[in-house]
Amino acid sequence: MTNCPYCGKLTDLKLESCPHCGGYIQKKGPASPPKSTKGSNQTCQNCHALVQDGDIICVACGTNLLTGQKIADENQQGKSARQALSTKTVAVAAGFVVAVVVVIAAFLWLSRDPMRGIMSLANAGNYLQAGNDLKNFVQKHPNDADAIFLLGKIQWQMDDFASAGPSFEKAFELQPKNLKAGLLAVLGLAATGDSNAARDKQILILNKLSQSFPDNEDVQRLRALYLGVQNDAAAQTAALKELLSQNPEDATGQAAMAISLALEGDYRAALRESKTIEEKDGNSIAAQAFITDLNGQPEEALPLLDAAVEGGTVVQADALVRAAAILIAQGNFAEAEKKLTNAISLSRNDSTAQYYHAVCLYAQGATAEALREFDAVAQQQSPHVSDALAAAASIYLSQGDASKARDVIERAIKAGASDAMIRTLQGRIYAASNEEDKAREAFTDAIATNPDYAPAHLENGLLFIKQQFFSEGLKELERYLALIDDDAPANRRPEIEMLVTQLKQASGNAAPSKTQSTSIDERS
Amino acid sequence: MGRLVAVIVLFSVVLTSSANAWEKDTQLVVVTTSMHMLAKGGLVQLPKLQKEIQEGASVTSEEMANLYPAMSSGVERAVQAEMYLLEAMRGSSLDPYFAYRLGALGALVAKLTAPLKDANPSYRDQYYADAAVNVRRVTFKPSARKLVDPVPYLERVMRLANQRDDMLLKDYQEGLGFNGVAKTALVEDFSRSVDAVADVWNTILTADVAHAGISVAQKSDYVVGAMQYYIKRGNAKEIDNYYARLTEVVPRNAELAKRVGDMFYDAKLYERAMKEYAVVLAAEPKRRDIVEKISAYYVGVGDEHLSDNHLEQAHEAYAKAAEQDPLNSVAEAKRLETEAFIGERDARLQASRRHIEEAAQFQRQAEEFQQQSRFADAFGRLKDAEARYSMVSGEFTVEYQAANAGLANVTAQLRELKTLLIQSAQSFSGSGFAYTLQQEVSKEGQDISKQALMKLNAHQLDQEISQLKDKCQSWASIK
Repeated sequence: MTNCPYCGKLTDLKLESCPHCGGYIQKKGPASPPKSTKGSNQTCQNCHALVQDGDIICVACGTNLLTGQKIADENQQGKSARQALSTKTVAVAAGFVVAVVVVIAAFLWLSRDPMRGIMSLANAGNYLQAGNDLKNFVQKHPNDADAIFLLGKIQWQMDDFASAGPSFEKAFELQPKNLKAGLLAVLGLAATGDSNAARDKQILILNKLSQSFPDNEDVQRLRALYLGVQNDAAAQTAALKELLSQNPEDATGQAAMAISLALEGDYRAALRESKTIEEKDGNSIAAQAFITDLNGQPEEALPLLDAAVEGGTVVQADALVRAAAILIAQGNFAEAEKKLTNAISLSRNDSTAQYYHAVCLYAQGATAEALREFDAVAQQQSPHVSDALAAAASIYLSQGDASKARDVIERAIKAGASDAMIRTLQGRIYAASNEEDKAREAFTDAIATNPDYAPAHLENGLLFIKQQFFSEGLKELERYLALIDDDAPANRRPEIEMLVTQLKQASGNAAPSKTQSTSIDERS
Repeated sequence: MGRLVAVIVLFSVVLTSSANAWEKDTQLVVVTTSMHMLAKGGLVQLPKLQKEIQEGASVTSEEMANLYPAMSSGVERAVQAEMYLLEAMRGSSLDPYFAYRLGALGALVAKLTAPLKDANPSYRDQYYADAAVNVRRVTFKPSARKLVDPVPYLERVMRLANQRDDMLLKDYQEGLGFNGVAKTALVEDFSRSVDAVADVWNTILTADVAHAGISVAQKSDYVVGAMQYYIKRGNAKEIDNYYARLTEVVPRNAELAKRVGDMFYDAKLYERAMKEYAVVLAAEPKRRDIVEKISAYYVGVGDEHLSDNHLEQAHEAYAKAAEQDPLNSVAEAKRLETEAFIGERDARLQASRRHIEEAAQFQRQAEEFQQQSRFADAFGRLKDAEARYSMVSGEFTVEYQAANAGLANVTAQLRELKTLLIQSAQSFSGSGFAYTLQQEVSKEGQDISKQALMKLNAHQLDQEISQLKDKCQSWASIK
């Protein structure tokens, strides 16, 4: 293994080019000493100091660039050959030669044009050498904007965008009116990864470019999109307005404007904007679907989500999960389950899709399968861990296994869950274990935590009924009915309303019967 | 008028005789001794009727006057008439009234046969008082029994009883009192009376002589007296026996029926009285007194039934009263009123029955609802049934009992239903949880939409960068 001379990353010597940047890797001869031909190598083979064409002696270490041997070594080797020459004579002659060589080399070094050489190398396609030379040059001339810009270009040509970005960025700093440097810097920095630091730099550059080149649509568009990704929806909207004022037909700008308005919270305007887009692909349909949903029209969003999936949007999994969530809210668990299965096949690690899938199974009574999936979700790093554990506990309770339910709930509590739902489940576990005092305490605690959590009132009421405290039980059941403001089948409103009526009659609280004034036939 | 005079004379005679005879106790001793004596002689039935005999022997002067209407023609005659009557009325066995009459007759004979019967009352009464004191210590000397002809027999006995009257009076006048002749003659005098009573009874009980002189009226009087006696005793069987005998002995007639009817009526045996009055009316339909009596009786009967809420019986009684006496406006008014009561009562009864039927039907419906787990409907029906049963009043026993039983059943059903309800309520546990999951998913959904829009934003940027890279490729060219 060795480091790539271009990108510096680890690579294999057996490869001809670097797998990271594609740069050519020069193979070293395994045992043969490096040749000191001037054309093939411009460094000393001993000390690797830079040497120039025509140099004979390395001024750094004194190596004879033609023979590859240090002068001292030659003297050692020449002892036997020139036994006749006296040591003194040889030393004088060598010193003279060295002095001449040094004088010539110094003259040549001081009189040469380094950029010409680099350009020659670059033009010859020797980007690696050109780049290296240029880096050395730039180190010595850090404010040479042209050199730095050239370095960026060489790096760009070598597809080393990560290095090119900072080079262009530096060049742009030195030449703020250099549109090309600015834009190339942004594009280059984009290759450095999605780090916040890079994005801040990009937006900074784009802001400067925007000021310097207000009519440049590319700059405006790119800046707007970056602001959006930066979650600055208001700034994005403003930027897009500027762009669209220059070119109202800008399709990207239109699409981005709809999304930006939505993220800003102005769903109506967003929806209006999304509808104006004439040529719609999967993504624009998806955007319209999500905006419609955010506008509080999930039923209208549902067919659009389906269309977006069919149109091949990049957010297929999200569209499927959101469609499923709408169907779940509608109580159409079977249809939701199909979409979630599809979403999971597209994105196997989507814990939200898995959790929703488990909810669908649970709602359809497939408790064993649901339990498995809730457990799988609980094993992951997912925001749904505590909900999945709570659901599993509820299933165990419905199966009459209070012990397992207790274990699962304790796991949820260890995971940090302590909301009204968890306390209510704890209460149910206590009630199922006939620990009625503890159950009452848990329900009371749940209600104190969230007075609007309907299930806590239901369970508390049922416990009162079990203890034959009908008046208190009825109050809690009525509170439950008041809190569930829709007619979802899962909350069993009609049955519980019926139960309340029955309990009132059983406890003598019912309104007087009408039968005293009606006949049997009428009532039958 | 003549009858009234006869009664007054008889009464004065009886009052007089009551003062000139053995004292009551002495008479009782005489009669009782006679009874035992005859019993020893073979008339064993008499001691069994001792109570009635002594009761007869203790009759008041007034009762005696009623018993012996022939007293006006002489006591002996009266005794004779009574003897003939008793012989005529004697049956195969002695009955209590017969014994009573024997006792009364014995007392009368004892009076007749007492010494000093016509003497100075002040000595006479002293003598009788002394005799009463000493009579229980005397030893009776019985003689043989004989059948007697009452009048001559009694006249002879009376002569014998009075033959020492002068000596007795003299002893008392001289102050010797009872210690003189009276004391020594007491056994003879007492025994005489006992013999006389025994002979009279013996004759009545054993003589086999038919006396043609006993009139139907006498017999009727006897039977009526017997009826009265038995009515007073309150023995229905005896009344029945004598009533039957009355019809055998005496031809039925309106007057007799009236008398018997009145007796029954006074004894509050109204049903029997009414039968008798019916006989009277059959013979004399226009007897206003009877009509009014019958009508008043039935009004009374109706009132009693009405107070007991026996409307049908009351109505029937008022109807009879009105039928008997169409002029009885009260009876007719009460009949109509009762008829209205019956109508109202029948309506209430029908309503009660309807309530019970409806309640039972509600119960059946409640059971069906319970089987379908429609507890509220079941509760409703049971409450309806409860209300229906509660509407049945205690006026009608059968219906009231049925309603009470139904109520108990409904209460048990309600209790069972309540238990079922509490148990079934627990099945709702966890309902809200499923709803919560659904709600949470629904809420999270909008986050998905936001995230997706951001992804689309990023995707647009990627595309833009890609396009710009291509576009700017020439800018990065070296040449």
